[in-house]
Amino acid sequence: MASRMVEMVARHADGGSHRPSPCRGGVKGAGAVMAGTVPHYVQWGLVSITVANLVVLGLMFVVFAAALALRLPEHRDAESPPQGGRQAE
Amino acid sequence: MVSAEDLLPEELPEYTRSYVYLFGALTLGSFVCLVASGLTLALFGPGWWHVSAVGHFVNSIHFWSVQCLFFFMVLHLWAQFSMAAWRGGRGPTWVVGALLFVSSIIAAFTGYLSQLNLDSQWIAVQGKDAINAVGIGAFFNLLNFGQMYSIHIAVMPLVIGGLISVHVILVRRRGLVPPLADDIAPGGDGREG
Repeated sequence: MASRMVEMVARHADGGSHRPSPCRGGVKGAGAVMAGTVPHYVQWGLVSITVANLVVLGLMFVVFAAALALRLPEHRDAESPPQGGRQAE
Repeated sequence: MVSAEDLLPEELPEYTRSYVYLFGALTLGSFVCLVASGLTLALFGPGWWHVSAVGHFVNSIHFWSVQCLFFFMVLHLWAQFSMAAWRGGRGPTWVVGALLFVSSIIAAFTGYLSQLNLDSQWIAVQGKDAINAVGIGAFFNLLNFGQMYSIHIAVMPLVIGGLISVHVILVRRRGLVPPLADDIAPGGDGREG
């Protein structure tokens, strides 16, 4: 609640340009992408990672698996020679 | 070197029909976006990218292009490692790729230092201890904005651009590495020509 009030004051203090308050990033550290948000950390033994970072990591595994599983679409005229230019050998 | 036909091939082997082979190009596309948005940011400066709506937008493009670059570069690394892409005389390609990875990290780090906000100040004040600890603090002063900004907009783009050129030429020269199964057959070592 207090952080939201600070953010609102910071936003309107500059005449409504809605520039993100520079204080937010500095206080919250390099992990905060969005001004005014607090990164939530996941602890697992020695590993401490933000939820956002964990989501990105999971997304990478999903995309990699999908890239392996899915096949590129077949070219419609794969059998016909290319139009113009050199003939493919 | 590399002939024009090899530089821009019209056909690729059947085994490359997979989305996995797109990650390198997606990484390159992200780099192109980075250079374009970065040039715009450099032309107008921090007084623009912190204040105007368009400046914020271009700044965001630059930031998200970095995220895309690392996202696809790591996927490209996973793919090439799993298919042992250094086979068949492609060791130099792998080494250049590793250098690209490290160079990208340096470029990203100097970029985070170049934001000219309290976030970048925090990064500089915290990061200087690590740089000092490895003994290069006398040469790279994270609190020296001019040095960090110059490295980010002048030195690293040239280094990375040069390495990418070498990397792509090496890939085109040797061709895409065949599947591991082809090398398992007796007498096969994946080496070409």
